[in-house]
Amino acid sequence: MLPDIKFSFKELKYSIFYMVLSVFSLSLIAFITFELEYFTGIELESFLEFLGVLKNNWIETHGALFLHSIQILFLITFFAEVKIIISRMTRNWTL
Amino acid sequence: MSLTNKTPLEIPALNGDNDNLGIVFFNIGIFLIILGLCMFIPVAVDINSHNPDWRVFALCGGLVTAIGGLLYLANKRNYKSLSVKQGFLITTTTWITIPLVGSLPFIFSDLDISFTDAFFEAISGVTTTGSTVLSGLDGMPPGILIWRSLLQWLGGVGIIVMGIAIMPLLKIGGMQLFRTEAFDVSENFIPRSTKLAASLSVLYVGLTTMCATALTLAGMTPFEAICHALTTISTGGFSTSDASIGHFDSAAIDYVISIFMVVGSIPFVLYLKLMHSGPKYVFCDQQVRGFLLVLASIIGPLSIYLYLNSDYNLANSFRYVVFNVISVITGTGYASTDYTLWGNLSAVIFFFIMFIGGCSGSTSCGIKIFRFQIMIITIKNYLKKYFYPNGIFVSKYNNHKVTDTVSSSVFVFIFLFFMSFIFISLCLILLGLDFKTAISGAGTALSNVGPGIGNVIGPAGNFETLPDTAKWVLSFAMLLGRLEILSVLVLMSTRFWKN
Repeated sequence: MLPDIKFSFKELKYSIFYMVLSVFSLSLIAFITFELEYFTGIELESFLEFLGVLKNNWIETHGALFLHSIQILFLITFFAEVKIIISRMTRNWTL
Repeated sequence: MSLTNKTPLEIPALNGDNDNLGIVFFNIGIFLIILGLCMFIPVAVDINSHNPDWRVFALCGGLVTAIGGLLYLANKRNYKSLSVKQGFLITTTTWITIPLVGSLPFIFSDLDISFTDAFFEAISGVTTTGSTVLSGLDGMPPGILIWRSLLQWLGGVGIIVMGIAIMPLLKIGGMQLFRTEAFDVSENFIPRSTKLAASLSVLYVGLTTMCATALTLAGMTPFEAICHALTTISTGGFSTSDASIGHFDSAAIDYVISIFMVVGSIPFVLYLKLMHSGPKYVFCDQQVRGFLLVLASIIGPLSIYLYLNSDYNLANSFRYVVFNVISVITGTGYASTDYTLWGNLSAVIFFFIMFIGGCSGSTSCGIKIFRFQIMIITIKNYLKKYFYPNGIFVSKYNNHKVTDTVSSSVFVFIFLFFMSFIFISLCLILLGLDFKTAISGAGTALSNVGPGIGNVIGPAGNFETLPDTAKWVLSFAMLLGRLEILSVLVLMSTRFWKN
């Protein structure tokens, strides 16, 4: 005999909707975070060039290093963002 | 009551919750809309790389979205709940419809492949198997490559939701042990399933993004990193190169992918617990500990064996063993080298470990660790009862009592799994495949791993040369394995279709 269970259709519909919404929202957050960090990095590099701390056109010779630093920074900040979002979503839960 | 007095709503076949097919088509409509919209991602990728295939994806995307929209609108009713019967129907029909529709871009693109090949590729993607009929991947249009990866990634989401929300309620193969209150609507309904689904999606996207970033850092191009991240977290195994991960020949890439394959094979609910209450829950979980123990007990001895029997140094032996063992156990199916050339012992080990699988509630497949643990617990209990016939022994797994129902469900599942394996192997042998290809093909398809053993479908080969009928048999095996066998078999029972 099949188990006597009823799945809530409303919940199912909302679940699919929220899943799609979450995927788009988090992808957008990831994109914005990376772009913000990248442009902040570029501006910081220009400022350090202006102060004389870095040589002129430093970024052209150290492009790979710069990009890697931004990627590492992104990994850390994005992980923190995901943790904050999930902590808020699962607040008051008994998992 | 005369016929003239009947209002349309009183006709049983179209009436609300009793309308089995209506609710099934409605759900398929929703999933087709999502799939159709996803086809616009390859459109963007192909336009960006000036590839004319973008038209194929745009056309297919529009068509699939329109069909999905029509199904949605035509079957829109005020449904209140889904019965288990409808749950089974929706699960299986969705997992057949999505590969059918997902194969359209393969058929209409410049790949010049048959419908059988296109369907095989799509179902291998959606079920996260990773067996391929395509060769020349290195020069393939980027739209096709990202579409293959997306199919696996979408399949991965479906598997997590199924493993956490649906299978435990349907009590398939002992999955009732992982019943989550969030989706339980039978008695004490707690309205938070939407939140659980949303947080799992956040986690899934988060892990994929982190994996892609880590792969870029390890040396892949952003496109390759995205494609591989999509197929790593979903433990799918489609690559952008014929040589799979061996193409990159980078220890950093091997280790990053190994870590994320393990991440994809651990129950996703545990990550929520980790972020909610700290890391103690992850390592307290009996299934995770068992999984890590299995990995360590295979990787350690096999690394030493490879070091002693090959030209590799210890570091490289360890690297290749770690990567390939994790890839096969988790059902990902990447290969960094042809491990069948390491000797007969390793070929036998790789054949057997493809059945193990990862943890329940993750994207991985196969028999799964918890079933082996339940079997061991049950056998231990049986032996105790043999020595102490009057004793009462209570077995526990993850603080849940292991009832006789759970034990028998697990044994039934494993019995059916191996019966299906024998049946599929026999079918493949009858179709003219050699013994090694037939049994490894059946094993790899049922366990959703990807490559088999041997020259034809081994890590260095692909499924292109198999006869069409064999590809259909293997497609059925992939579906059977992915839906935990019973979900498909139950539909073949006449009792299921009786009111």
